[in-house]
Parts: sequence; structure tokens; C-alpha cells
Amino acid sequence: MKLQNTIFLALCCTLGLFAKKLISPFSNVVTDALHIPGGVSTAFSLMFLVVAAGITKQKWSATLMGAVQSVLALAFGMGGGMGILAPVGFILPGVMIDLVVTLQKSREREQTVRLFLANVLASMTAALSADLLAFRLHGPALAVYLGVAATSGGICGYLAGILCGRLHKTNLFHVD
Amino acid sequence: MKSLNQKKILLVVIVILGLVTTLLAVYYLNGREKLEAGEVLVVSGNKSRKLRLDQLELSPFSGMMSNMKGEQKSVSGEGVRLSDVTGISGFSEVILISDDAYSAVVKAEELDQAWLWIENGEARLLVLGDQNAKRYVKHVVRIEVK
Repeated sequence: MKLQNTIFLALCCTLGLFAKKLISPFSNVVTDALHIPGGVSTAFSLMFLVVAAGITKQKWSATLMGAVQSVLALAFGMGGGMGILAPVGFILPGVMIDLVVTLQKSREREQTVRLFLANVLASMTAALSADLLAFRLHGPALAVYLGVAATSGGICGYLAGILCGRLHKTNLFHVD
Repeated sequence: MKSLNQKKILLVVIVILGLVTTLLAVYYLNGREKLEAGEVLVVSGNKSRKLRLDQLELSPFSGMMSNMKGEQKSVSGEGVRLSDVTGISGFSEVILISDDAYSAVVKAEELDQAWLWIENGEARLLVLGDQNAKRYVKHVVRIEVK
């Protein structure tokens, strides 16, 4: 793995974790109005993992970043309601991103769609794992929670596609 | 050109996702019980009653609880024992649901340690001595007795 890629992965990993806190005031406005426990900030946080995986195309990079984030989250007490099981909620979305982005060969022009899909699926995976481990929502509340996760995942995935396109043009990163 | 089309399709997908979510949200929000501020709905079997927090007789409590970081901290305040709120016997567990649909379960044998902490017209669950910070449910709006 090239040094630039490693540094970029580490940067996105940290940004992803703390970006969640940064947009919490905005996401709380949405989730409070809808009476659901979350779904917006996680999609934004996962966008950084999607961008990192999309740029470096390093196999299992998103899973690795998820694992590192989970250790950091446990250390800083940011595990939310999931407690000691927080790693599951961080690693599973990472695996989902890898399945869509880094573990399949794709043409450059498919990249935008893949990043979009990866962010949507990862957000929904994160929402489902948080629901199973902590929230235990059911019925319409769960449907709205997943819908919000999918929509915000879609918006962030779209942004990830634009961001990756621009970063690729800089030629700063090497794809192995 | 192809990339432009792709982006347009993705934007359409986002709009569709947003519309579906909006419809689900309307259905969900219309189906919720209408409660005024300071009210909690207590449901037991087919019966339900509204509880006004400002009409409860509060008692002081103090004890230890664990926060999300696993640190122990002492808490004190005023509230009512959960057993006094449920008002019946012979149940196995009580489910407390917050305004954002987050829920926690208190088993019958833990009821002596479980309090509804009343502060600023809102109720929150507190199980004294609890190691599980997940049960720190804020803004309780519904209590289901099973």
C-alpha cells in the first residue's frame, strides 16, 4: 500500500468519526421532527469511508477503517447505545462498502453509481445493526428510520461520487 | 455525456427515496398517539391511561449509574418509582419508550431500583446501580406493562 493511500485512509477514518459529531445539531433537527433516533449523521460519516475506498481502491480498506473507527469510538466513549457491541455497527457498513466498491472490478464510468450504491447500502446496514443492537424499533418507526438512512445515504453517496471525481483529477493517489 | 446522464438518474433516485420516506413519515406521524407536553401514556393489556407528570408526588432519590463511557457517577434528583407508576402487580416486564421511539426494558425484579426521573416537565428512566447505560431513556412518552 502506498504511503499516500495509507495517510488518506487514516485521514478519512478520523474525519468520518468526528464529522458525525459536527453535523449532529443539523441531523437532530431532522430526527427530532420525525421522532426517530438517528439515520442522518451516520450516512455523512460513512461518506468519508466511501470516498477513501473509491479513491484508493484498496481491498478491504473500508472494513479496516470501520474497525479502527470502532476502537476509537470505544476509547472515546462514542459507541452510542450499542455499548461494547459498537464494533459491529462500524465494521458491517465497512464490509458493505468493500463489497460494492473495492472487491469488484469496475470501469471508471461505473464509479459514481457504485459509490452511490455503497453509501446507500452502508447507511442502511448501519441503521439496521443499530436497530438490532440498541434501538429495537419496529413497524412504521423502523420504516421511516431506514428510509431516512437510505435517502441521506443517497445524497452523501452522490456527493462522494463528485468528490472522488475531483480528487482523481489531482493525480495525488496511486491505485495499486 | 454518459456521466451527466448517470448523475441525472442518481438525482431522480434520491428524489424517489425522499418521496417514499416522506410518505412513510406522514403515515408514521399520523399514527402516533397525540400527547400533550408533560403527559405519559401507560398501557397495560387493552387498557391505557394518560399520566400527567405535574400531578405526580415526587420523592428524592440518589444512587450510582454508569455513563456511556462506562464511568460510574452519582446521580440525585426527584422522581417517582416505576412500580408506583405501573400501579399493578403480576407483570414480567415494563417497556419504556421515548419520544424518538427508542425503548428499554425493565424486568419485574429490577423495579425497586427503577425510577422515573422528572425534570423540566420530562420523564427519563433511571435504573440505579445499572451497568447498562443503554437504558438511560430520555423523554419517556409511553410505558407498556407486559
